[in-house]
Formats: sequence, structure tokens, C-alpha cells
Amino acid sequence: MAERKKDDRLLDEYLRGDSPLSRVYRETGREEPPAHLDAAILAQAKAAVGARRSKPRWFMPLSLAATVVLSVGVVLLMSREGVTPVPMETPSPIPDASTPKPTAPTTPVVTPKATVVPKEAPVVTPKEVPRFEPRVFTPKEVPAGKTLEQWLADIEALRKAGKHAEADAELAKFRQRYPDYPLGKQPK
Amino acid sequence: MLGYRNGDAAAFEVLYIRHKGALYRYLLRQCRIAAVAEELLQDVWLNLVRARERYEVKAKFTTYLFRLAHNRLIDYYRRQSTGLPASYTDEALLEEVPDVAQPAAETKLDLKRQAARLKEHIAGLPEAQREAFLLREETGLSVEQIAEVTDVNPETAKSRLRYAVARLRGALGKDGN
Repeated sequence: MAERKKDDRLLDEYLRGDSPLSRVYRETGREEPPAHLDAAILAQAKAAVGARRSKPRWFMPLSLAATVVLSVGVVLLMSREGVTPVPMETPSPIPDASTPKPTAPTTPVVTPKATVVPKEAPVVTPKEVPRFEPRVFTPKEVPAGKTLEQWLADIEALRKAGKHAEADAELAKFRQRYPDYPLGKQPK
Repeated sequence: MLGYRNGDAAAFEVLYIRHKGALYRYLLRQCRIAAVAEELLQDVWLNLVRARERYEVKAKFTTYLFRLAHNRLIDYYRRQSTGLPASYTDEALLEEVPDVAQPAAETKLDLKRQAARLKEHIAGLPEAQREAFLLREETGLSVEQIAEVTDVNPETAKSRLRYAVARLRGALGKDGN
């Protein structure tokens, strides 16, 4: 019992640190593994993770964030410039071959192809990206035998001829049908 | 280790450099054959590499690493013709009272000679007691952490360490006198 107590006391002294025993132990040598073994272990550890991942962990979230920011930016830009999205499923009337095809305002057209996607970003199929197309003014809405430009030219001619009431009436019809059409320098 | 688990090979190198010496000496002084110690060392680190994706911070990394080393060492012992050393299972050994004497003053024997003698006495300890002592000296683990590494209860770990310390102090005392 007395021996056990003495051993406990010695153990407590030893565990407090810097005992004579520990001081002698530190002189027993500091053997290290051979250099070739270090190199082999490190090479195997590196190969184990190198084969699995070559890009930093933050790369994928960053790519996704960049894609979202670009997409939102494009949508905002289009809404500011007055480009109206047309759903893909809207049937577009087939124009009469003899009728000159009406032209749309020269608003820049942004398609999904124009979106800059980082090289390593996940592939987004065109179906997943909202498709925007410029508003197309169909021939059916234009008075028979006239293009939009001709209609506007006629209104201008009426105004020059002093027929302001008729010009105003035609312009009102035009605006009613095409409220979004940018008239710019067209007759007012 | 979390860095390495997440694919950072440089994080492994930091861990390796920090722990390789202690781990090597622990294995070398337990099995006492350099070639075997090198093989065991490589196995331990490669087990760590293989287990990296399951690694979770539950304890000090040193405890985790030396637990792997202890398991590999036990496996090595079991494959020997002599099997697992009795000191791991025969707790009666812990009841033996080692011959205790006061440690010698360092002036009586120079430190290098004392160290050489101590190395011999460490080699003469039963494996389980030697392991507890080496874990304490090489890693600074507490009694509870040594118990965790060697998969025993803290009382057993403390008994093993008490035995080793008493016997080594006694041996140093005799040498000095």
C-alpha cells in the first residue's frame, strides 16, 4: 500500500512535466524515418488527392454565382431598353411572300448565346434560359398593302400637306396598335 | 487534417513533418527493428490517407494518428509467432512492484551514458507499459488520451504508466549508484 502511494506520488511528479526521467529520455536520440520513406509517403498522399480534385473547392460556387449575376444583368438591361420577351410557343403568323417583311426596331437582340459563361461553369441547356426575341409587328396589324414605314411615311405626308386632323387620326390609330413602337423622329 | 480531407496536399505535408519523428520513434522502440518500423510507419500514414474522407474532428489529431498506429502495432504483434504480448492482457503484471530507487544525480553519470542505459531499460519494459511511456514522452498525451489511443480505461492506462515510470526511475537510480 505504501509502495503504491509512493508510485502514485512519483507518477504525479512525472506528469507535472520536466522530470529527471524526461530529461534523460530526451537524450536517448531523435531517430527520424529515412528520406526516401518521407518522399514515398508524401508522393502517395499527394497522388491520392491530386487525382480527385484539381480545382479549388470554391471554384464551382463562384462559377454558379457568376452565371446568375450575368443572367440577371442581361434581363435588367433588356427591360431598361424596352425589349419585350416573346414566349417561344407564341405562333408567329406566316407572312405573305408578296408582302415585304416588316422590320423591327433596331434594338439589340440578346440571345442565350450572347451570355458569357465561365469555362468551367455547369452546362445550362438553352431550354433552361429564358429566351427573348424582339417584338415582331405582323403584317396583319398594318393597313393593307403597307409596311410600317410606309404607314408612317403617309402620316408624315398628310402632315406636310397641312392635313393635320387626318394625320393625327392616323397617328392615333398607329399608336393604339403599336403603343411600344419607338417613334423617335417620326411624325407627331 | 480537414485541409487534407478537402484536397489540400500541402496540409498533409505539414502534418507529416510535425508528427513523423514521434511516430517513427514510437514504432521503432516498440518493435525494435528499423525495417519493420519503417513498414509500419508507411502503413499508418497510408491508412490515414485512405481514411481521410471519413475523418471528423472528434479528438486531438495526435490521438487519432496514434490510435491508428496502436492498431497497426497490435495487428503486427498478433501476426508474430509469439502473438499479442501478455502485458496487453495480463493485468496481474501491473501488480508487480518494481524496484524503486531515487534517480541518480546527473553528475554521477553523464547524461549521454544515462540516456543509453535508459534506452536499454525502456526496451526491457513489457510492451503495454512501454507503449504508455513512449506515448507520454513522444506526444505529451494525458493519461486519458493514452487510454483512448490504446483502447483501455483510464485506470489501466494510469497503472501502465505508473509501472513504467517507477521501474525506469528505479533503474536510473541503480545505475547512478
